[in-house]
Amino acid sequence: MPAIKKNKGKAQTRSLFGKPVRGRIDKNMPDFENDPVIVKRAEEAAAFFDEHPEVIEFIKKIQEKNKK
Amino acid sequence: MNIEKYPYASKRNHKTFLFKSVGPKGTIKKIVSFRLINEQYQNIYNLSFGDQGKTKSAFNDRVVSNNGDRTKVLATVALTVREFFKHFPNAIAYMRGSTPSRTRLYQMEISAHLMEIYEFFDIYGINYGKPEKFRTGTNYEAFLILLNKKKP
Repeated sequence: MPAIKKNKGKAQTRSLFGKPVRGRIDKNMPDFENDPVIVKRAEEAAAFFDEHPEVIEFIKKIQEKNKK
Repeated sequence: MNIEKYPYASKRNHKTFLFKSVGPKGTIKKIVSFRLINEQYQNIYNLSFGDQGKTKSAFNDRVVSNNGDRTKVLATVALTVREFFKHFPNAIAYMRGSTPSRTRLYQMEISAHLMEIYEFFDIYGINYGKPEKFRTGTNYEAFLILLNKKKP
């Protein structure tokens, strides 16, 4: 009787960063950094950090840890 | 097996990226932007992701594209995050969906690829203003992404 191969059933996850696509520079791309919606989102993020200084403290601790 | 991605272009400052989603709804220009939150919060960038609107410079992060390529689009966004951190290794990216369901979608995609993401980044979830190391199965309101500098 032939041996039965055990199927360990390991999930095959497709790679997110494998075979990266090369980016190119586009000098003519519009400057979205100052788009009103993008500015508004940054302001909302600032308001969030103002409201939650503990998140900033957490970030500072991580940054310190990473420097060591 | 690798997830397909779209080729992308970036501005010379590596803070704005553009790629084209191609599907049943046609070709849709996608924008990923990293904007410094303000001078007070140094090195913290807000990650915005959305479509290019009707005018050349208009950005829309509320539109639902339904172009049948969500995985490919989000994998391309992940690549742009990697590219951004190549140029800003000390940055912290703050990411929050424009709606709670989008934040949830990001969370699901992060969970699905967490082990691979940890090879390159440290990722934290924020819940009720409390940050913690990202855990699958936990709902977060926003995320913090930092470069994993301990990568061998």
